[in-house]
Amino acid sequence: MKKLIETLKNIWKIQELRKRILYTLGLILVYRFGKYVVIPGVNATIMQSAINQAQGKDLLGLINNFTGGAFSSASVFALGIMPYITASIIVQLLGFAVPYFQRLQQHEGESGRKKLNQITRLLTVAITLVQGGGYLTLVKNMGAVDPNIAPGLFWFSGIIILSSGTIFAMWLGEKITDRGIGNGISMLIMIGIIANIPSALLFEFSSRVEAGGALLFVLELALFFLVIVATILIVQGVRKIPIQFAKRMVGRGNINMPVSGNRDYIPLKVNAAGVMPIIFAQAIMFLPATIAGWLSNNDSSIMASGFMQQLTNPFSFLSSVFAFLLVVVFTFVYTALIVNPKQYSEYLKRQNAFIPGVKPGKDTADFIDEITTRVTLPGSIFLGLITIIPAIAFAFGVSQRFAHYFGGTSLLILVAVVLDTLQQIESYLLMRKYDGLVKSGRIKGRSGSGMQIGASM
Amino acid sequence: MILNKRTQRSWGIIPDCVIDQADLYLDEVKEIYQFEMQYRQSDSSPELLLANRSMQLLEFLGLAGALVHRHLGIALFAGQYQGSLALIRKQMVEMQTGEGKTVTIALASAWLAYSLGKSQILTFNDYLAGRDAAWMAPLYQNLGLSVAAVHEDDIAAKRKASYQANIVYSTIKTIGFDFLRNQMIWNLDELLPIDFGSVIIDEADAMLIDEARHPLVLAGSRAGTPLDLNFISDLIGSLNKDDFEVDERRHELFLTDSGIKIIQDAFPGLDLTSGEGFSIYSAVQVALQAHSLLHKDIHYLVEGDRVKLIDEFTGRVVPDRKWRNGLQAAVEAKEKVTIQMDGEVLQMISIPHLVRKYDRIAGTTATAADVAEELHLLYGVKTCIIPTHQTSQRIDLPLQICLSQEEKNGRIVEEVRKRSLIGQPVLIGTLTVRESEVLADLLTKSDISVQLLNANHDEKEAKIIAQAALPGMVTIATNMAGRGTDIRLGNGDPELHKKVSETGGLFVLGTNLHEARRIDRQLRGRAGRQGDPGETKFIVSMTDDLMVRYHLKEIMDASWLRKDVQKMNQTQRSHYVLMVQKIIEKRLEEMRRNIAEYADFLESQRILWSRERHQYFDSNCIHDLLKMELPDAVQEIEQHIDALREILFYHYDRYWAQFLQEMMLRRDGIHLVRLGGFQPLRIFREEADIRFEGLLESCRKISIQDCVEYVKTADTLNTPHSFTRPTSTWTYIASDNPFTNQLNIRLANPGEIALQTDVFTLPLLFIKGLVDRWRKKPK
Repeated sequence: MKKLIETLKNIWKIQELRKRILYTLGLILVYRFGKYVVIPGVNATIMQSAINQAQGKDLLGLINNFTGGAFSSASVFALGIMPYITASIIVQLLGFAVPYFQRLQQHEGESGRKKLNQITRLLTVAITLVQGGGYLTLVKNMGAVDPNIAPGLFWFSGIIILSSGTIFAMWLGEKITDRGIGNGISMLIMIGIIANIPSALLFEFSSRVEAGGALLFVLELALFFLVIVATILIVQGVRKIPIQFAKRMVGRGNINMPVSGNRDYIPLKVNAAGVMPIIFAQAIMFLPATIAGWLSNNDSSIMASGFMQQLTNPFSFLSSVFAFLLVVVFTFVYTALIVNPKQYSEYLKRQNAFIPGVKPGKDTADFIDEITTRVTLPGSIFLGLITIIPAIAFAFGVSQRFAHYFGGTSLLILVAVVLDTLQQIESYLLMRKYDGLVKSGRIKGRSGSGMQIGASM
Repeated sequence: MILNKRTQRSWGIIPDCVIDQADLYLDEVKEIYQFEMQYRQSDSSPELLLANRSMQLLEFLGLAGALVHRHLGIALFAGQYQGSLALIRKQMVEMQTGEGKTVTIALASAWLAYSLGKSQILTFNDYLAGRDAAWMAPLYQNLGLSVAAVHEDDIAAKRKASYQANIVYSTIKTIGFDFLRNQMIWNLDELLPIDFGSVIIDEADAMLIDEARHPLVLAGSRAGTPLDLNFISDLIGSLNKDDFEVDERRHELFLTDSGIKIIQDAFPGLDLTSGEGFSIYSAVQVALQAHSLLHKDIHYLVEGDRVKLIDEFTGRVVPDRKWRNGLQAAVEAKEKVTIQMDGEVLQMISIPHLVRKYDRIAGTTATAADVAEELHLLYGVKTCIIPTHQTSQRIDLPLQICLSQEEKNGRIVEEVRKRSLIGQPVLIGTLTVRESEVLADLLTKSDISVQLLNANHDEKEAKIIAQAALPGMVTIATNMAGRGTDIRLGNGDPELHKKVSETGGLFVLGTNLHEARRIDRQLRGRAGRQGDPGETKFIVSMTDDLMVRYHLKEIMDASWLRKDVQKMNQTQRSHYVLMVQKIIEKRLEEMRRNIAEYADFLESQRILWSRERHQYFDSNCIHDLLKMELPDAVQEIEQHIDALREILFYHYDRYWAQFLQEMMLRRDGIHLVRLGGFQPLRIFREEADIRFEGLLESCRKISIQDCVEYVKTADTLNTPHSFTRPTSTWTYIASDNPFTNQLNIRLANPGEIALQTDVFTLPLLFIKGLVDRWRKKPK
């Protein structure tokens, strides 16, 4: 604890770091504030109650989660930065298929990247126009639109406002990346997700205390802490495959030198697929209910059937089993997207690099594939567990609101973003340490009045 | 639409770091002229004038101008005074060839030396340093300032004396190596007094930008590999074209499966991926580099029993330069000459870090505007453009692009014949020694007599340049006739000058595009000096080395406007060729930034290490160091102090070399961590930090241990090896982004986790994942 305070003090002492952190906090505040600015002509209360009725048990609830509630409150940020993310991924995928994008990605370096960024932004605008239309239709269907407003004006202003909201959010994200700390886009997503933690915590606390179970609350917190620790371990878990480069001929060097432990390696992550399997599994599970909803035209008999009820309720037993299985399977699929053994082995060959004892080419690909499978299996099981921990916690009596944070996407995203940001801060501290040492004219651990030969160093 | 300057500036077309007023400092220049006129008439000795009172800047420059007029017979243009003032104010000055840069620099450095005591001028090469120092000596001497040139091969005593002068002419490499040598001295007497007060760098873009991608490296010799390199070299020589693959754009060179099989067959039963087999395989790879990337008469010359490297920028042979990582030995085996000792890196500094040690940085070049932003970023200097004294009459003809080498050669011969028939002098700029010789052959066969300037004929350089613009002369040159060469029409003879002018002046013919448009312009700048007429033209081919290396064909194939090359007109062709050139420029810029990011950290560590090492020149520090272990041996320590100091220096230098070695190796492989979503630079810094502290700790420990032992037993230790001459090296740079498509790297990065949260694209990614998974299965 003392060390933590010391570190925090250090961070605060560094002017640039302090500035960056304050800047980030400022922009996040702006983003959060935007959540409360409602699109003109929309009655947010009606909207909110309509969506809350679904209790986050459909796709919209999922989206609402990632926009930090802006979606359900009909805010100007209702679309969030999702369209930007959609655009980024589409542009990346285009690189596999379209020669023009391939050239920008492969040959043109920095200027190509700039051009791609520009295209991504334009695509974002296009996507917001489509999604904005969809969103306004939804709002209208829910009957949340002020009847006094002219339809033409509502559509026109609504789309422009939603589009600008997304572009503004994107700008905030980019500014945070540039001049703040951490990755701005991820930061904004994370903020949206954790925004409700304090109130959930408070709610849990007050309801526990009311029921006279303060000790239980402490126990819950301890459990929460353990889950976080486990998640951190999994997020950081890496299997290093040693690599050696056959690019240099080493002469008979100095044998009595201590050997460095910094060998070259490829890091294979235990959880390479990140949160993708969980989110996709959840989306898939909402699918039957959504389709059924359309087919039956809101006929409550299908919706009310026990099976559907169970499936759409993330806290039910059936839903948990399904989710677990889906996540395990999906993890392997998404891992294949990120770790491509054939590509790796080809790359290693082109770089004249080897895994010691493994022949280049097919053998290397098989070897990497085997190790990937070996580390992905426990990773996928853990990911499955993380998905259903909220349900388990709920079964043990934790309130739904709070149980939500015990696992699933929220926790993973929170941990990933916080870890990344901390690492960036650490990197700053490291640079700063050397700058400080160079300037102070002294080296750690030695206080002797060093003789200086001035500029000759 | 024509934009005015302010709009251009606010739109970022003219960057903020360019000062572009043509009438810059004009009021001051007027005043300088008044002083100049006054001093031209005055008889009093300038030394007396300066001794009596301290002179202000403008008056001093006026006096210097008058002296230049009196002793060198040159009347200064306003542009030269403007340039001097800009240099004094720490700016990068863009001045065209023939506008009197040497004098401009001399005026500025005279003032700097007068007001600060010392100033340095770094020229493009050794020869120019000597020439300029001698040429400007009368000016400096009359102002009471001493001047000296430090050459690469001067002996230590002379070096030391030269550095004492008020004004020192040298090259960036000489200074850099001397600086690095200073880090390894064992005796304070050996310290070379390099002054890092003020510096003016000529041809600044070449020195500060282009060359900045190679660090200056001081190396010592060590025993080479025990393997039979000649056998391996012959083995590689016997490979066919499809046994290996080269991709120079990505710095890739590797054996294909058939190639690997040949090697495996040559060493039956040996596992090439580990142990001894791996060192053989590494030697094979290095030999492959030597055979397919490095070519005689392009990258090196063979003279007697030695392989000598050619500097890619100056086109000159560089003594004492070697390739590292055993490449030198592999080339020697390939050329069947005696294999020399292997090199080992002892000290290293990057050019930006070296130059930033100066308090005041300024420079001149004819092509600064293009790189103004980079210069500003790296060195904090603004760029100032000085208009030419007389409007340039040079005509730059449009680029001509041929489809094949044969067509190109035919057109070159035709063009040269046409020009030389009317008596117009022609300068042909080639890239390599080999190309220059092939062209010379070709032209001679077509009955056109030529003179050849390349690293094989460098002793006749001055004579060849002097003759280059005589009527009807055809000169073929490598980069040796690039920067810093001033070709005067008719070699200064007014009648010949007139005659050549009437034919259109010097005709410069470029046979290759360079890696930057800026460098092309340097070659063009040889024509049209000081308002003389001149013409330039580039005749290149789509199959030129640069175009092939950077995949011109692939880029054209990937274009929206795919079209048959045969049917394209010149404008369309040049669109693609110039696109490749721009791509190269961008890539090099990125590479330089990347190098700088990694070098920054190591430079801080180098400073700390040197500081700790150097403190032991103070005997008290040695006493302090040993106080704990030898509390009662103050006398003995004092008695052996010199030997103890040597023990310390020996260990500090050894461990530092070890650290550098490790970090350079790590630097080459660090990009692999990106595959796990990590940032290479971040990981590199963390590892470098841990390793640095670890090695420093062991170094202190072993130093103390050895010192204690020495004092106790007074035993003569194995005397440390002495160090050999410095060399600079060829670096092999791996890209930080292993895969060209970033999708999987971005998705793996925890910082970009937001990319994983989009419900709309997740199905697309899922499908892509399924496809990848399915493809991975062996058929």
